[in-house]
Amino acid sequence: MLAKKTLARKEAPDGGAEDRRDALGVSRLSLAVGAGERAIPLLADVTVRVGRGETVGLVGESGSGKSLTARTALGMLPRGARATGSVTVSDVDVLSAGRKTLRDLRRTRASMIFQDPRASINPVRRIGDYLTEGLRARGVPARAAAERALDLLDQVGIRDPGSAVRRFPHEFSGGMLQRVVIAGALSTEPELLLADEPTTALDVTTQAEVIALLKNMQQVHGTGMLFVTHDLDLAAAICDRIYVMYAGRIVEESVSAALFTAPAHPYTRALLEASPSVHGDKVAIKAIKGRPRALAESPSGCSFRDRCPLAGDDCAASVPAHRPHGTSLVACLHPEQVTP
Amino acid sequence: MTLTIPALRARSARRRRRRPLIVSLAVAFLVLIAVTGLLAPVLAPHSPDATSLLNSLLPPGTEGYWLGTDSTGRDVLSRIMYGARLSLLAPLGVVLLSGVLGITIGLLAARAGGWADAVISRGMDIVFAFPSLLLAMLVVAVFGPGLTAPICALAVSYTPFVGRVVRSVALQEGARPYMESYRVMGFGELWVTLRHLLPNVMPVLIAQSALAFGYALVDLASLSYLGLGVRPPDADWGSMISQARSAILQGEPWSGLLPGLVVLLTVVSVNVLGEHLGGSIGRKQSEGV
Repeated sequence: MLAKKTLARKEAPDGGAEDRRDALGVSRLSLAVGAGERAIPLLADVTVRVGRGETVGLVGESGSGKSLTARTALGMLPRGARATGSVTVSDVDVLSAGRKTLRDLRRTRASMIFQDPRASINPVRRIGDYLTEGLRARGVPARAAAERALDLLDQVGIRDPGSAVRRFPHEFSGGMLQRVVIAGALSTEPELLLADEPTTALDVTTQAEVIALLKNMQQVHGTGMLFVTHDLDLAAAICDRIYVMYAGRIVEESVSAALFTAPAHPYTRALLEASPSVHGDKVAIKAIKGRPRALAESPSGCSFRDRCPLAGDDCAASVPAHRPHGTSLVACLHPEQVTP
Repeated sequence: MTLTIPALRARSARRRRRRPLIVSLAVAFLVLIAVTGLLAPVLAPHSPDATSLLNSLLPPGTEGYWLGTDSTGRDVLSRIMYGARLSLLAPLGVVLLSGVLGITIGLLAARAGGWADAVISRGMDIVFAFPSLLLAMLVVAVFGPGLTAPICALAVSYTPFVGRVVRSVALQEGARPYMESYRVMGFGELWVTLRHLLPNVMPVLIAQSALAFGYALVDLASLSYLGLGVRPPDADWGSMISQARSAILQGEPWSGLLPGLVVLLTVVSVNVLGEHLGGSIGRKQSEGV
């Protein structure tokens, strides 16, 4: 179903050459809050690339820093956070951008979709207001913005857009509301769409519809999408490439089709073994021992060392560099023990 | 996940629940008072300032003077009607003024956070601790009698009431994800605060304002009673009670008791209304609709 694509080696996660035409280029991003001795690291050496029109998955457990990475793309750093490395969204250097540049970036170049649509729309404003507000802020005349809103609602499959714009968020179901949010996110024709677990708050059938819509809209508008999720299967189904995050670091980057057949990092394999499958023989689900770590409390060397069945003494020495293995780039010293 | 949004809660509460009888009565009384004040020149049987020593201290029920007359023979009913104007407008002024001040300060404190919040909050505490009547008396002593000075003084001393409520609700609402989502859409802090946060603070504020209105009415009546508010011969309920002091000592309490009763009923009505507005919001909050 999914064409196997070769990995672009020149944009290696070790901070290689940066393609300026990318929708999103995060390079060697490290993030910490606090200063000096009491600084708490949140992200370390994160490199993520999303090409124009490409769908890229960012997968990991809660607290692995995947949402944080997505938010950094919009310059939404936690209070008092210091970032090093570089983040570019279609040629705009986000980390050094001023307030006005950031505002323009958010209005025109990049949009974000949140987990719970009901929580991300002001409940006392009408749907029409929600959709036109962003357009009006860009200087689109009221009448044109209203027409665009109707058009967008029609595109995302809302029946009777004319009456929908006059209704309030609570009059819509979660799935319908997420469609409205998607319409709003695409209203400004962004080059980058950040989807932060956009279907987690929806039920399964609605999820499938929303994902299909999202993919379709993305193709129509040619938008690059960073899809943040903890659902590996979902990510594999819709993404071209997948980054796996653990404890604030990217541990594996892979073409999504290859991730299932040949996981290169022990953590990726453990994740796959921990998720149930309806196909094939009955296999006992293996839970990963221990609990997910934040970057600040992870052990020296490889962060996954204390939970890894393959860990040896060498894993404690230093953080493993990313190196190619199969079709993946992996931050592990023993990928051949995972996939021979 | 369930969401609890004050505005929607208030709206659905009003639709679903039948309004209790006491609230209807309170609303009816307030409307009556407001209409009476508005149409006083048409409705009042006498001029509020027309004295007639022959007709002084008539008891209520007298032909032509249904609520009796005061010690200078002025018709109590007419004076209550005319007095409604000042007695309702002045507290309204206090509520509006303190509302604007309180919203500004409260939002500023909530959105700025950090040391700005600390400074504003402690400042509000200080004003809060200062007796409002004392402040009003000081201001009147400086600027002379009349209504403007006490209105401003009371507005200042009521500002912390509003400011604190606005701040706490704004903190609570401001932490909701939708605030973030509008910021992500590229809207500035000021825009998000005024256009998206404020509407969600309003329901609580309206309930609070109704209560403040009652307090302001009593405070202004107290000032008038002390001779610091309305200047004679203008009528307002507080000064009517004040001028009836000697009559009360003479055993003719009506000209003082009746405006007092109107003050009492108005304040109770406003409080019932405020309680109802605030209550329906609180009820929905606890149900977590």
